[in-house]
Amino acid sequence: MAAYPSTIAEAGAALRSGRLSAVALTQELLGRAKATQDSIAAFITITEESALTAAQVADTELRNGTDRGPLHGIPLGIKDIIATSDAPTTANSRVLDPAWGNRADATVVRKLRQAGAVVLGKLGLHEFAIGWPDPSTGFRIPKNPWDLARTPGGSSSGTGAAIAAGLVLGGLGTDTGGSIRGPAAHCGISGLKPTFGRVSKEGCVPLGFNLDNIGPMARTARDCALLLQVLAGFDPLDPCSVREPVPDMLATLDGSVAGVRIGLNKAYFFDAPELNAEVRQAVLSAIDCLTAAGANVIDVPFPHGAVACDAQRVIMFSEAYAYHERDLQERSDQYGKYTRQQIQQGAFFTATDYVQAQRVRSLIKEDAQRALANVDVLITPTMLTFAPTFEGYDPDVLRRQPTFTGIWNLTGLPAMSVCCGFSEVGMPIGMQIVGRPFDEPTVLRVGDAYQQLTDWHTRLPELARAGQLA
Amino acid sequence: MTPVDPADIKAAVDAVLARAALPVTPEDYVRLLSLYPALQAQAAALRVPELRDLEPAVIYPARSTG
Repeated sequence: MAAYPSTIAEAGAALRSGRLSAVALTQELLGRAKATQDSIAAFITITEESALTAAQVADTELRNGTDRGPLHGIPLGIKDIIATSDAPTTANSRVLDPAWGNRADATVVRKLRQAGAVVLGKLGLHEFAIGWPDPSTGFRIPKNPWDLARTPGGSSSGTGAAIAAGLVLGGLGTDTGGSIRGPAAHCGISGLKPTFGRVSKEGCVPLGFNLDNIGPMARTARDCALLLQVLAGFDPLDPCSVREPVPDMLATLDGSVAGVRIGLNKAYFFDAPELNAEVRQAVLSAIDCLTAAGANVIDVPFPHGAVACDAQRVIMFSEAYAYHERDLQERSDQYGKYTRQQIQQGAFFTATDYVQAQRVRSLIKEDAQRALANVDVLITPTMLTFAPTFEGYDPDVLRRQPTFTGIWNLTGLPAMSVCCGFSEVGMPIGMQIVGRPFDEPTVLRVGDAYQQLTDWHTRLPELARAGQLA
Repeated sequence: MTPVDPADIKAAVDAVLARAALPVTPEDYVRLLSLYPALQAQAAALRVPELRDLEPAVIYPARSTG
């Protein structure tokens, strides 16, 4: 295990030095992926043949002097709600018409392949990126590599689990209310929800049209920057795509946070009674670490956090219901119980409720602008607690609790989770870094600097450390 | 006003399900009955005074951006 790199940056260096070939790296990770399908169960489909072909091409190109950039020869995984030409797309559901996925690569997958990436397969998720795993759907349920009795988070559960276990070096998640950042926090990795419109969502099964994002997940913030550099950019095939220049995502990653202004709103994000004390302490300690390295902390207002959660949920459930309406009417029994029950809620909101939620969205956008007026980033806990166990968990509890992630889908702002500690029972804890619109470079800068100051992100689950994967 | 009487809640849930032509399992139905007041409260919470002069955050570009 130790002979193989665990980050995209390390792997890139090894591939270019000739110490490692893309084929050897791909074969190793494919072996781990197949060996853990009965335990971690991160993949829905492993595309071994096309992955090895892509790795052979990557090696040949490098030998011939063609270097497609930092993702050349890098094994990645794709959440199975994003279309790929070499594998079916299931959305982890018996409901999605197989014909939907019978198409070319989604824009983001096409970009990754053009950059030389090697796609190992399609990763598990909560059905249609919502709900809670239901064994009756017939799909494997991804487990958390830190404790197989616990969830990796959702909905990008397979991507989070695969990266934490070292089955891929990075991957794609989708995020409508926290589905990239939650699994990143629960699995001890990094995950970035870009600014809405920054990354094309063409070729992705929708959940909430106005809230959906595709974004990078990887072990480090630097790796997320490498992925985002390729993923970002205007796409005429996505009506939500924004024609915004793509900056150099790595230019700011100098390891320094000197002078960076961190906004903190303790009333909503740190004093919530539902917030686990260990999570709270870990994030506050991380902020102390950044402060000691030269960042300045400034208290900021954020007066409408609670209603922001309501608005995000009303919009998400209404839009999800609109997409699923006919299938819920005609074959609701084919949905998993938890996904069906979540989406059913959308029928109970009126058109006026939806418009009011979109007006609240305007209000929260103004709140966020005020909060970020005199700071560079906001920092919050990513999740209220660390990963819960599957057994005894009530998915409906989420509906009754505040969310620290969905707010940023409502505002469209970029937000990233990085690991900032571990609980007493050994589960990872995530810190969320939120930036101004299209200012992913500053978000990545803070995350990368924190990871240069600490080593939380370098820790591996026992399952991976012990070499049980191969 | 959010109904609190179980009969009123049942009538409201039945009306929504009928209008939506949405079949539900007995378990789903019981869940929706218990959830209905919370969903109504969630929708009511959106009516904050600060919205008075705000437009919804939905923009439709009449001209294609492509």
